[in-house]
Amino acid sequence: MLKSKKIIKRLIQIIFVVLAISFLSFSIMYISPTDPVRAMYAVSGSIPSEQVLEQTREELGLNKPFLVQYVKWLENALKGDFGISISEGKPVTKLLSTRVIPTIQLALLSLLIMLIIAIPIGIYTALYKNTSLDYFLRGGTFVFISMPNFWIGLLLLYVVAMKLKLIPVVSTEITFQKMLLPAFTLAITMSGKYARQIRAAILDELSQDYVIGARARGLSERKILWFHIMPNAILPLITMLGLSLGSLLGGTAVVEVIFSYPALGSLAISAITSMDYPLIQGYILWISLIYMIVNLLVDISYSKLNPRLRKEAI
Amino acid sequence: MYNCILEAKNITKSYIKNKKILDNINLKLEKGKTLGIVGESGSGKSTLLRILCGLEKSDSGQILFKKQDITSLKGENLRIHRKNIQMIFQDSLSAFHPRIKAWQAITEPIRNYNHFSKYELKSKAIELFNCVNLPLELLENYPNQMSGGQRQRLAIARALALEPQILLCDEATSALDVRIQAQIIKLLADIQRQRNLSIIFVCHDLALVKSISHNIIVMNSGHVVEYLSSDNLITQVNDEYTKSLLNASFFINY
Amino acid sequence: MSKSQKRCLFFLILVIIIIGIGVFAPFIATHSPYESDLSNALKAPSYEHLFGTDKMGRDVFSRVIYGARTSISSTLILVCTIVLVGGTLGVISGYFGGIIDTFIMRIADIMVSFPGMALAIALAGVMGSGIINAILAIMAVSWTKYSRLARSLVLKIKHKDYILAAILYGTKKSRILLRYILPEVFPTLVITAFTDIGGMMLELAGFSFLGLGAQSNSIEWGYMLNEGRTYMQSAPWLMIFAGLAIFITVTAFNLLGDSIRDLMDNNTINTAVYDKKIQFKSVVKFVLVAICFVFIFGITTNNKKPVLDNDKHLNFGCYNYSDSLDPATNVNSSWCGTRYGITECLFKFDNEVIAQPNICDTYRVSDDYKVWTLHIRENVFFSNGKPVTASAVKASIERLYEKTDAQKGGTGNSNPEIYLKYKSIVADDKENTVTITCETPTANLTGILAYPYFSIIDAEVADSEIIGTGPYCVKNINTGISIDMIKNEYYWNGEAAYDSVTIIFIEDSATKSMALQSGDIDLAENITTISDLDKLATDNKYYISTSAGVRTGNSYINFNGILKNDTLRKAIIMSLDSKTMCDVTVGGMYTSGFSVLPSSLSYNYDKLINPYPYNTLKAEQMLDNAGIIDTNGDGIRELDGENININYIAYSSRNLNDFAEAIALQLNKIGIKVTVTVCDYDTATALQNAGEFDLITANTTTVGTGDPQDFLGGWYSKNSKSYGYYQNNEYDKLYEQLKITLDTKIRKEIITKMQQILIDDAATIVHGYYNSRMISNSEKVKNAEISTVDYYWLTKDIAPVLGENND
Repeated sequence: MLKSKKIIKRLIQIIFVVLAISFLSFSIMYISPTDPVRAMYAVSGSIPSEQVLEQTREELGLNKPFLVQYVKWLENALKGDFGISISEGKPVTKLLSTRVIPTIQLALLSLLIMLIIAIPIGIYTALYKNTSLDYFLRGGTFVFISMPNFWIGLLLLYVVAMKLKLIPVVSTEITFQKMLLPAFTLAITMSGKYARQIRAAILDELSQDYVIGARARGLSERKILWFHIMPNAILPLITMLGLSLGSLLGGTAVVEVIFSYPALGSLAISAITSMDYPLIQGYILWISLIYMIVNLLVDISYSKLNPRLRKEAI
Repeated sequence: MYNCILEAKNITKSYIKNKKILDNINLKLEKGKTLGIVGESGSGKSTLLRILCGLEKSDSGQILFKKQDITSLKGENLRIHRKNIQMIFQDSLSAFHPRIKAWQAITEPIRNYNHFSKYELKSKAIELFNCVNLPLELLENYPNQMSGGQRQRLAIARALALEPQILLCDEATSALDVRIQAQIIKLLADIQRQRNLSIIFVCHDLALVKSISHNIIVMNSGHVVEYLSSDNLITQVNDEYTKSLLNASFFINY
Repeated sequence: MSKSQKRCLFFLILVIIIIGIGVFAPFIATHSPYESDLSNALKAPSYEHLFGTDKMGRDVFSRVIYGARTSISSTLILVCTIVLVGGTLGVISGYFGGIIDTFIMRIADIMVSFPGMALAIALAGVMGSGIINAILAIMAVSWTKYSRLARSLVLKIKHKDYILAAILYGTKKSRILLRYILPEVFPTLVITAFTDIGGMMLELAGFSFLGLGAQSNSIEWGYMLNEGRTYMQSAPWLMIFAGLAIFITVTAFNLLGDSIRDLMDNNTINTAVYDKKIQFKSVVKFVLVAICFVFIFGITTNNKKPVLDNDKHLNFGCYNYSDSLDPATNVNSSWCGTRYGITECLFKFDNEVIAQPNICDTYRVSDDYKVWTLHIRENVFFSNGKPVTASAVKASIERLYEKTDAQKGGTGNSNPEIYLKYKSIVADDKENTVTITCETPTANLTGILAYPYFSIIDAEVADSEIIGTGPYCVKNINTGISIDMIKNEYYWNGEAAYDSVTIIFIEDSATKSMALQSGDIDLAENITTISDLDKLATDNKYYISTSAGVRTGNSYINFNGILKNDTLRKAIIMSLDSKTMCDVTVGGMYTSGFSVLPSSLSYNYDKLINPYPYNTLKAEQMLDNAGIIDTNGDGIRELDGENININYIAYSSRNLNDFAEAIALQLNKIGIKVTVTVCDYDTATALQNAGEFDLITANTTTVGTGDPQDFLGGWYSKNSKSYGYYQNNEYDKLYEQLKITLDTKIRKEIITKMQQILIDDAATIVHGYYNSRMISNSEKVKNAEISTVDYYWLTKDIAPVLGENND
């Protein structure tokens, strides 16, 4: 039962860290020089008198001391109530929850596509090291890592949706088609990094003793590649995948804006520009929680998959 | 003449709860003599050595150097005390930084306590080289450009740089060929005679230990199971473990 | 030298060349990167301007060259900081272990738990924009990687024998760190840093793209990309060259980093002698299998037809201002209801922004303008079939006030009380009248009630759905994505032309334009990317309806500062080419004008006279004659012995910062120095209230409720401390008179006179009037006109083009 003890310990750590994060973000909002009430009215274009501003501040409880506000917020948060969004008028929880699933879908699809691109490239460039195919493929991935992702996005949108008319520019439902282009854009920019990683990992493994041993035992090259080398090479990738998944969950704002894909990233940006602090708070908390849980899952699967590990993978 | 230069009393140490790697160890090192410590892997020998020279702290117990308690020395005091006890490691390659030249490596210790010019340091290095019978062409070499035996001599040279009174050898010969082992052992014996150096020699090879030690401790799973004086090794043996070690070792009857 | 060493050297030289271009920029650039010439704006690449000119008429080639300095140096600073901070913390953490280690690693955990870009955006949003803040923000989330790396490297060698030996022979901790640990850690960190430079540069560019990084006063590639984006189709050279610059630099650094790493790694012995053909086949198989998976994934999630397409259905692309349609939620939500044709008010603004009867058909008002009796039109129904009775109207208005009153537990953020405070509302269902008794004499109640806050909705169900009286009603809301609407069968004012309408939310203007061109939408509001607009304008297939709107963009003048000098002010106004700025610099987003009230309103714009038309020569003469000249040859005129330096605060909304920049450049030409500071709205407002500006931009809806009195109050001396301390006794008298005049004709006259006073006094710099637009595919949609006041988008008149062109 050692394993579950560690998991519980980890969960406690997560709670502690998430609390710390919420405190930090709350303080940042509190200290920031911008006045959320004024920003609220700024959205409408007309600032009422100072009197009305003050009144609204009272109504929203903004004049109470810092800790009181924080504790109140925490109380509500534990009940699942993150307050009402200033800019939308809807409960924050509702706003966030409608966007969580599309975000996860987009993130997973991006990773999937990225792996489809990166693994073959990684394998080829490793096996054909220093041949022209290697340079060509690596050159290609270079090109894509070196371009800003919004460029690639706009380009793809222009070419595929407009010129080729393969996919509608906008659509009303979150269909697979709608996800494809943004996922592809994200995948391309990530694939270079992973292809390089896979290449390096495979090259490392190739020089290991066990490969020579396997060959000596008469195993076919194909079996060696897929059943011996790849499992070992992929292992360090899992941690990277975890990190990438995390960052995808939070920061795909640019791509979302271009493709009008309603996920958490664009929600965050609009929340920030309108200084919608309940929404910002809720967003930060949700994202951190999701991110840490994803990391925990990654670590668990990592330690399960890697028999060499006897101690904690953490 | 009984002159105890280093004494360990009731040393206990454990890394994981309930598993003691050293349990109530007592030992005495006579000045100018060699104490051999025999045991298999996991018996706690290396940990004991590290505690003796202050690289690690024991959980309980005392260490006395020339009758003075040095167990709780720290900071600058500890650093100054270090001049007295030096150690030689099993793997000579990892004991040296790969990108520092031989003569620099062995004079590093001196640099920590004095300010000498490069010239003075170089001559000091030559002196040390001669001490350990290393050819002077190797002065400018890197440690990985020497043989194992040469490197171990280098390690000894470095250990001698501070003119310590105690030298700890942690399996110093275990990674060397048999003939080279003999050379090193002989070197150690010579140095001991010349400088009245006290040596603790840790090894798993009973025969080897016997050839250099005046007294022997046998350790098993964190305990000292036998104290022996090397002359009457075979006759004195009582403990079952030691007996099995004796039987297991290859003796050339002399 | 080995092959990999040669490669490394090659890329190193390449990188040095690129850095050198930045360093030696003054010798390479053909023009000054700041020199602007508005008449030469947006010219294609030519011999004189190798990369063309940008929207201010500046030479793009020189800007790209100079941009290398900022872009590369900021990236290098960023990376260095990250390495130093992360590396140091990692070494400390790894070497000293214990509590310090736990502490640092926990902090790293926390930082890592913030999704990088999101936190960086949040930090930049809180600390303000600017390169330095962007660097700090990115650093705050990126150092963890290096600290972990450093820590693991330290841990790797911490227990090595030679470290133990070193401790043993008395080496001090500091020396061990310096001599042993650092040389082990440092090279790897540096190599990793090299491979990260490219990525960091892209991150900074991403920041500028979102508007959080470099601002307009710095020359930086990412920012240039952002600027150029609005001209993507009409002036692509703006984006191409800056993008290429980033691309080449990033590639060079990446290649360098890679080759360095390869150099270090070249110890691996390649023992692979593989049968390559077999590998090829197996990898292809893998890819095919994976693609099959993706398709299965796709097919199972894709089972709805994305967009309806028949004759009586309209797809309307809009920017999503609010997810809510409830007028009580906030301003934007109330506007959404009327814009989408779902809700209506008692009155409605016509194209001259005069409130006309709508749901209320006749009304009486008491002589003191306090008691208004409004008769509700007969046979008006909500879209759910319920009749709109006087009580229903009363209920709707009362609900609005209840929902926005926090003391009563209301959660709405709208503030109707700034427009109307009433003592009582009485509904008489027999007579079908609603009587409102206002607290103070309110001459303009009709205009107030035409404001979207006061939309008449079914108060009984309003908490769950918004039911109005407009031509369309909501069938289904897909939050954040779209709204499906159907025709309101009970519509009182004729028949809605479409059976169904889908409003599709599109955040990005370029995407909106593309959607229109690809046929995914047939109607779009306000495309603000200039190049897209141009493209659609030249294509006969699309009809663009433009209206000069009701928003004025202007800059308030601080009369307590240097600009109280009349000559200076008037000369300034004379030296500004307002038309070019409106047409070119901001790409036609504004209609040029010289009065504070838009020309589209009915306040006699055509009768006004502009005594200071654009004439740079005359402006300079005026200044020379008044003795405001440059005596010491530094190019800047002096007033009262000091160089004129105007402090211009701008915020970036609706192109205001573009105006500020363009004005600064024009004034610089005639010897008046202007320093533009772009900040966010709140900081700007704070500065405005504190009076710390010479010029400050503003953009205001002049006739929110159909009457410009409030807007004009900004120049009333009792109010004007927030607007620059303007004072004119005659203006004050007129304003006071206006406040108590209730006769509309007389009001109009007074307002006309007030405008002329402001013009004559050069009381403010008027930039223009913000244009609203409605763009439609004329082959499918007709009558798509935009109204002057942008509360109304989807009207009942917008209709499909039916006939032989059925798709």
